[in-house]
Amino acid sequence: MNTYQFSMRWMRIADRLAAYLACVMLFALMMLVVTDVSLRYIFNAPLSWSYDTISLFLLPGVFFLSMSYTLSTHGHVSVDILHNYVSQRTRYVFEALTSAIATPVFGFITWIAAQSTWKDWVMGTYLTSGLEVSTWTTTVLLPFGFGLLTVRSLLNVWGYLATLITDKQWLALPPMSGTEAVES
Amino acid sequence: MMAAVIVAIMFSMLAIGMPVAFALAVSGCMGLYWVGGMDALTGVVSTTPLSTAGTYEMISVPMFILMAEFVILSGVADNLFKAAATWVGRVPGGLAMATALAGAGFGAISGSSTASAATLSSTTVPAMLKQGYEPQLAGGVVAISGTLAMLIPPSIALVLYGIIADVNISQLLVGGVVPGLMVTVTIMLTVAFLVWQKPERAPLGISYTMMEKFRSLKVVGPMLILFMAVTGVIYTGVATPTEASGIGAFGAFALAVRAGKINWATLFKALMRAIQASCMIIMIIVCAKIFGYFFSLTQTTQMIVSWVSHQGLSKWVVIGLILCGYIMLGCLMDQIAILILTVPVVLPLILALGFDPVWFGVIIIVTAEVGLVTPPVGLNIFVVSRYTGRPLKEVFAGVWPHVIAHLGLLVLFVAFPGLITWLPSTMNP
Repeated sequence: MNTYQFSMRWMRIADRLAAYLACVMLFALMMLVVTDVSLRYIFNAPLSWSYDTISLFLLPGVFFLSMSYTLSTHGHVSVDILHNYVSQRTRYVFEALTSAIATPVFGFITWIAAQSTWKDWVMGTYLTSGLEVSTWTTTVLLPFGFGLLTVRSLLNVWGYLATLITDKQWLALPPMSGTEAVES
Repeated sequence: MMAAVIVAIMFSMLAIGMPVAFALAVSGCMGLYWVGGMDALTGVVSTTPLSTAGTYEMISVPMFILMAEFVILSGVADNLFKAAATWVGRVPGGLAMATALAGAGFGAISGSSTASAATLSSTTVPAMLKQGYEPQLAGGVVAISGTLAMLIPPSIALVLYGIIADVNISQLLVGGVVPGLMVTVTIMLTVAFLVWQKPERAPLGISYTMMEKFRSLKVVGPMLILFMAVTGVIYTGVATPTEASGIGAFGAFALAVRAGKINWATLFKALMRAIQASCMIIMIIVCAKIFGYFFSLTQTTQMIVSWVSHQGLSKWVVIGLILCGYIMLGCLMDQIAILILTVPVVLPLILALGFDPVWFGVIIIVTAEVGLVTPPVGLNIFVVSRYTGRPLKEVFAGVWPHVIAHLGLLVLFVAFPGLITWLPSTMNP
């Protein structure tokens, strides 16, 4: 196993774990909304902490934790009309190029977000909302999610470039829309 | 000038296949750095993603997506077609009409058009082909009926429009009801016309006894409960769309549990699919927000609005041009991406011309329905073709009559805005 395959394997594990956590959060989000609504309308006693828990943890959690996994499954929608008319090799060039352009931007966002989370941690700030929780517990989702996305995107650049150079398929191209495998 | 360069860069990246969200983030960051330097860029980047992703109204996006997943899992939708076919199957073109009714029924409990097209394809097309229907007719009617889910509440697309345009989501969702029914009737009339033109397109089916007809209604019960749990509570003002989306997802989950379809594997699969679809959509919204800051800093939107208003065009010409633009874009791009990309720019123009934002929201969803079935990127056509194993060309050919009928209906909605705005106006304030 070469370094690339080794990194990819660990990346897959990290992405999957984050996505599993996002699934748990999504289910919790549903249950919390229903519980809150029922308590409010039936017993007139809504949960005071539900609003903040949802908007500070569950909703951002579902999103940030699944960003990188969604990239790995080609879930981020793109326009592939041009890809219908170019050669396989050109498609690899396009993919390498777009990943190479996006990676530094994600890296930058990760860096900025990490700095601000670090500040929250060091200063020990608390959320201004009703919840008595440290600010970093929610802001950490941002550098974590974008960090995974940056690494995944970097691995994509590596895979596409290596394929172009060695003429062996290191990383498969995204399926064209309409050709994805039929789900049973 | 600056905005034009950045937009050109964005479109070049889109053209070579960069995901829509990424292209928005990259060009937005470039633009912000260009206009406001590092300070502007770090300011926006450090706050926007978290605050946008944590917007409370955003809950409806993952919840309606999850609801659609559970609805499919529960099998509630599978028998809708059978029930509709029992009632109208005897009419010429009856099975195709039943497909439209099943599409409307599915749309009433699910907000995802592709999910609807997929579910409908697997049940309706084999039944129609077995009865000797022209494959073209069968494929076309399924593809267009699938798009109803986008218009009939709950609709993920209308929720998105509400979030981006900051328009009352309850009114938008309720505003989709009457147009949704009219589209359903239009699809049925188009089928009737096609069959009248050439009766051998759709051989007559068997008839059912009254007893069988009423027995078939059994499947409609859970569907109606779910519809009332979402659209009903929104219309009566009992719950907000956000709460209703949670109730809807839970209701669909409960139906799936009752049907014995929930186990660890199926639940996990539904959740995994839902997080990916939600993430894709929220990612575009977050990145569009970053890009939006660049547009506000350069005051591009205001410039476009004032430029258009100085052209001295009638507002009907402007709306006509805008809708033509949407239909053309719809042929090239994903509907959700179009919505998020264009609404922040187009809506101020619409408001300046004196149009109603709820009306416009429903109107662009109707145009987006057309975009879902027109080449080369008609997503629903791909879905139908994939699930039925029929060639793309055949489904595209079959959907044309419906596209023409749909465009006629669109003209009607523009000419008589009351068709859309009446029902929301009767809601409890």
